[in-house]
Amino acid sequence: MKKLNLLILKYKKEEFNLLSLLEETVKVKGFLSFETLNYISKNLKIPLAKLYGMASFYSFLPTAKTGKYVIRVCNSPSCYLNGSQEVLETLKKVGIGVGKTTKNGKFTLELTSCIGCCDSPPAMMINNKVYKNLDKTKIRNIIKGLK
Amino acid sequence: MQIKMNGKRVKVKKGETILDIAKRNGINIPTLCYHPDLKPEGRCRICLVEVNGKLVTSCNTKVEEKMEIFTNTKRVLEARRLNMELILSNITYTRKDFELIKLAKELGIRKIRFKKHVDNSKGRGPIEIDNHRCILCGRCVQVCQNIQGINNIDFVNRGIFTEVTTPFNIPIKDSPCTFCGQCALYCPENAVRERAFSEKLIKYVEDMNLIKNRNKVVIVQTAPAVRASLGEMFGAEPRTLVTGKMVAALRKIGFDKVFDTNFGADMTIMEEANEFVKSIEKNKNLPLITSCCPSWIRFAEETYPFLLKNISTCKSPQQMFGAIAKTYYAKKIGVKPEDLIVVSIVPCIAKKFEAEKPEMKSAGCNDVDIVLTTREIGRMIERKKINFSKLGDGEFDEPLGIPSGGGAIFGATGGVTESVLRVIYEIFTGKKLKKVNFKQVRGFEGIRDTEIEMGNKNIKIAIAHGLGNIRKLIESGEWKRYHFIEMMACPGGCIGGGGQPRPTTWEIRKKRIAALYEQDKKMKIRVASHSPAIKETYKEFLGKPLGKKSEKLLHTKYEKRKPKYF
Amino acid sequence: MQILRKSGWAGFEKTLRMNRKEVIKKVKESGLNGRGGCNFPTGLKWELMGKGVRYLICNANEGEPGTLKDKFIMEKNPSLLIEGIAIASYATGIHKTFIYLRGEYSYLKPKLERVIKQSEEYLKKINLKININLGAGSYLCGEETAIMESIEGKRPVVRQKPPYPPEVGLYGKSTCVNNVETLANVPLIFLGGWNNKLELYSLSGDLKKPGVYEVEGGIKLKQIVSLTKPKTEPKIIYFGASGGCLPYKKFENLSMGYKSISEQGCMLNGRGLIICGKNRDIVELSKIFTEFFLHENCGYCTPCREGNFRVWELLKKIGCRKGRKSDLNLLQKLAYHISDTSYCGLGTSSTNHLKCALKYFKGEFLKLCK
Repeated sequence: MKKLNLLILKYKKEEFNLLSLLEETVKVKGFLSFETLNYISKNLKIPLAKLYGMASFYSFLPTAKTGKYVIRVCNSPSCYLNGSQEVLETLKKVGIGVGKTTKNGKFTLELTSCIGCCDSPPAMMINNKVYKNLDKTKIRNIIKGLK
Repeated sequence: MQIKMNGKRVKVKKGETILDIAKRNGINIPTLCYHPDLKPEGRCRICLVEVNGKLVTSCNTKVEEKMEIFTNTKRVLEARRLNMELILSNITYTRKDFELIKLAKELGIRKIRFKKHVDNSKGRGPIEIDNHRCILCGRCVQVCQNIQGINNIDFVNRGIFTEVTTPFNIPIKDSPCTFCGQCALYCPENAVRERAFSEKLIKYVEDMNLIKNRNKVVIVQTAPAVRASLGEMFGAEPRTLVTGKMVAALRKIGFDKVFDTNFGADMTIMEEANEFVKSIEKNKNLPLITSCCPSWIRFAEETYPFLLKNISTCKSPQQMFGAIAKTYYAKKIGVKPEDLIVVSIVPCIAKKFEAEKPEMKSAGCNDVDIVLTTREIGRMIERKKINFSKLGDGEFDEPLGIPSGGGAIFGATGGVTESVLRVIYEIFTGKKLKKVNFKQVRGFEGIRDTEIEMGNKNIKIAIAHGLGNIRKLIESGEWKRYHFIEMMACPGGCIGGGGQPRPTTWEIRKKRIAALYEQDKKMKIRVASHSPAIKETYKEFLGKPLGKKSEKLLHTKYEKRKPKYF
Repeated sequence: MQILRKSGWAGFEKTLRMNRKEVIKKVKESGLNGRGGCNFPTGLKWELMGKGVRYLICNANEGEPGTLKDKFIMEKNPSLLIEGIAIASYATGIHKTFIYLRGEYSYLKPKLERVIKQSEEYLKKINLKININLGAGSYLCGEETAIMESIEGKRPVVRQKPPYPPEVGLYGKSTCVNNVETLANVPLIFLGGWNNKLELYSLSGDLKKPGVYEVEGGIKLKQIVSLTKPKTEPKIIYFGASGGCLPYKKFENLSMGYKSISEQGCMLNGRGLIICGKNRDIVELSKIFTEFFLHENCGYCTPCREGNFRVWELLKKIGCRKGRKSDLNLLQKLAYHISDTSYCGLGTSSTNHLKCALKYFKGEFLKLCK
């Protein structure tokens, strides 16, 4: 809560805008829960419906609980042509399915549009880090490294 | 400036939209998400026209020099039809009378080549949003955010998953919604709608003609605004009053007695006027704010608790009527209060919520058992296959059915104020009121104010309608300047209520208001305190206004409330 | 590469010696056009700016699949971009600039912030503040008015035009929106020796050497593709997701330029080329591209929201050999309908790829239909 208050204060000082506030909140809280958004709404006098309408629009602002690591595999044409489907298959073999969170609450897997790594496909992002030129062993090692 | 429309030269002004011009020149362009009261957003893409070889939406495209517009080319018609098909492909539709179905016929849609894919619906509370039917036109969102200023619903998600809902899908009854129902009123398709809260009872009422040895007596009361709009559902012009036909239809459905809520309204005026006189004399709790609008009451209880001491303690006409019916009338005809079913027909959705409030139980059970909106009763009449337009005129039953003109104008914005003024004039001056029309308080502006001299008193009055305007009046602090304030949650007052027939625009609202004032003009008794029925009830039963009995039955308390989730 | 030249604020220092009108005049004369996709003359855009409080937005929400030139610049030569922003702000009299950086590039933010901090002494001279705003994963936010809605904290739905951004933009004020590559080229104009024709192309797909290439505009398609060493013989060239596609064989001698490409019914949006090899199935590819738009459309208007979903359904049906000829006709109708009647640029360009595919490869679609 302290951190959230600090962020709200920063917003009020116009150090950043609403979208950045929500992004920073996600970093602190993991996702935008009802309580969190309601707290922001009360403090900033912005209607909750508007906040939620906005948050639900963006792919990077989850409004439901996600895993500790959010894996976003690029599903755009360039990566698709270079084996993004195999990346998904490999992840599935490790026990991470598309659109799902693993039971231990560690990983959430989502598909995303182009992340600008068309020069080194296939690629994925885990939280804010980008992993390029993926293959089976690389993926397994990355996931292992995160456990 | 000149443009060409369908080959003809047309004179236009700058800033006009293509749709405006087409309307003025008698050219029909079908519209769906467009509504004259709202900002055109161009979501549905039905009102397409061809401008210089490009397809644009006519509702939000402003005219420019050298435009050549065609409204009926093959390309335009096909594009409109395909868009309509895409819209229809994704929703359930059944009833005949909604804008959408009419439009689909007009556009000539025969077959839909796509299958439905949405599968979720969110109900709960007096209002429900049905995503099976939603076409995402955005009217309800605009009304809730821009006109009413409640901001309870918005678009969420994106792309094919876009839907209109409350934040986090919380049930509407637990959200800060005030149940004004404007969202439902503006919906072109029955996607946002009122909810029948006790379907069992409604079934009972609908089938009561068929039930033998009925042990329950079912009476009905009809609110002032219903008679000015019910006819619209059966093809009548918005200005027609259908009082007689409405009564006849209700009798045909099988109600044992048909009463007039105007009687309740008269009683409200009596109580409220006396309360106001008392406040003025003691100079306490001024301004006095009206309490007939349950949506406004919910809004105040949730958002402005500091105003609660200023709000008149009078119940709304519906609840006053219910209380009197369940006590005085039930005793008079020798029926137990539980066996008397009070149905009320109102232009309002919030009244459904009001009737279920725990404090509205003067005889141990709900004072009003079933609340039906104008739309719901219209549909019931249709289902019963009653030929409404051919009906003769019925008459209200006595004794709870003979009202004054003061009660009749309750449905219009400023109506309550005017009726109260008529009563307090006589109390303050001691003279008989000659000029009954207080034209100063009539009008359509969102916030109006005026000063009226009565005897040695100068009474400052404000009238606000539409929750957005109410909020403006309160948050500016202006409200403190007045002695009497009328607050109505719906634009135009009850005649523009959330349960009224669709479509409702400002033009139609004005016509309905005019009809109510006409009715008032024709009445013999124009001042509530002159009504014999009122006099009798006070004499026989209540004693005097603000007396012990009326305090118990006709008044209520308010408390600060918080929506469950906020 | 020209775009990797270091200016070291020399270009900026030069502009400070000129007055604002002269700067704009010089940019106009240089012939620099918007590199984001609309190809609008940059100098003219600056000239159109209104009075009073104004804003500059640097559009770094590079979302077009297959495009990574802006990332390339921000990674390799960020100070050139900041200098370009400073010059643009000076020329238009702007004191507040927003860099709208897409959420996927959030790792670039610290780097850019460092550069901004290092150049503080220059920015102070013209009293300029640069804010970096992170996006949160929305392709639509690459549209200039959607960026504004996003910065203002609303659902990023494209605004209706007119009014255009120079009249009513961010927070209702006059606003200029420029692409990263455009702004990065600005200091080079003043440095001298700038070649107007050199542009960045991003190439990806079935290639051995995908990446960003700097070539002169007007180069033949064949030449640019040969730089990247295709794995197999190219069959289809996609111009990003929204630009449409062309069969490689037929157009290998086509010269690359906005005009020549649009004459073929395509758009050279962010100059991102996705090259598909000879074994690729056009129906499958169309489905993948449609999926992109399904994921990214905003849901505002009917044709784009419902239509693209139906397109996807039909492509799926045809892809598993269950489609009929009537389905193909409907598909074609929808493709044109969506681009004809949608609300914003995303909608109108969302079926370009399909329109082209049906134009050049209809036979392959027909083969799969019953």
